[in-house]
Amino acid sequence: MLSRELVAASTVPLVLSILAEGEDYGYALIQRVRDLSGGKIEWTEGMLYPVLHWMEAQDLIESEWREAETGRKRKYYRLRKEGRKTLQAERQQWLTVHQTLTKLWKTEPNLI
Amino acid sequence: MENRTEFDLNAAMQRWRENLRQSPQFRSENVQELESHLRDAVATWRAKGLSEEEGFLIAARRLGSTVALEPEFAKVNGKEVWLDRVLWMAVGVQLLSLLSSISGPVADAAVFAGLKGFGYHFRNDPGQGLGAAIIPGVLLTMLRLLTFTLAAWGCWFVVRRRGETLSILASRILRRPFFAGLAVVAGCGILARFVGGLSLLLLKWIPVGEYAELGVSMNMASIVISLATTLTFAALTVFLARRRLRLWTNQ
Repeated sequence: MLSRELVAASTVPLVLSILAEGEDYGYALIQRVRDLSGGKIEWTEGMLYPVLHWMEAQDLIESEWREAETGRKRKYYRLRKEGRKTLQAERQQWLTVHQTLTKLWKTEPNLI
Repeated sequence: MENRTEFDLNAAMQRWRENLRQSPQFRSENVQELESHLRDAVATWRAKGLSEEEGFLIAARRLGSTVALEPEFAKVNGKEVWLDRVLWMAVGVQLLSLLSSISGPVADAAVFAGLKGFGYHFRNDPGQGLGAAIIPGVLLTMLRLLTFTLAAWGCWFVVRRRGETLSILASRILRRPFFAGLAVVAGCGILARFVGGLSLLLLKWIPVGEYAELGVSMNMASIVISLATTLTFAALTVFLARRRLRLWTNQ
């Protein structure tokens, strides 16, 4: 299980990365994250929506209500140009953290 | 389990929606989106073999409680939350002035009629001045506070008991053009001021000299009441602010 802080910090890059593959709606985004993380990233599902709306206000993504194959309407989200840029920046930062930690944790046993 | 009432998904959704709509933090589009999510989740659970009722219960729980979601939505819907606050402030200010402009004259007339009935004589004597004004002054203060409290309690009672009817009525009035709504709301305010103005009719029965003396009592009552109001609101403000502070620091 991820800590609350880490869940909050990783939501935006996760959403951006999934939407980079193509448009999607909230429920499917959540399912996707749960599947990819093997159930280890568990959101309070409703909390995703304010984040999506915030991202929309920041011009990272845009949305559209459309009728789905079920006949019900769903709100689909799509990546915007600004979102792609942010994704690149986020990617760099997360990779930096990841690489640093990996190096540390690999070399640490040798120090003893 | 035969006589158990069948679970109606649409009715459950309706109740869930109503609950969410009570909070200004959620815009109607937010409610629609969350409902779409819930229905997708219920469909997923159905496909896994759960009943509609079980699916709905799990889906609603996973979505998060209203209390948990409110602050998150408030962050992005700040405008709506403020709109709601300012609306209630405007209603409160008008209701307060409405109540005080009606309860004041009612109390004045009652005290005057009562004192006269008991044979009290208002004297037109400048020397008596303040001293003579104390008895009617105290009576006026008490009665004004009493009528105000009763009127406020009456409003509260009506809102608690008939809140739904009131909100339906209000939404019906407000759907009309702006000026129709304005006419109704302003009309109520003006009517209350008119009732307040009726206290001038006292002049018809009271000789001007006696009215002047009653006026001294009225002023005394006003001073005491405005002091009491100031203290009450100051206490209310500090109480609410402290509560709010506690809620913040707990988070």
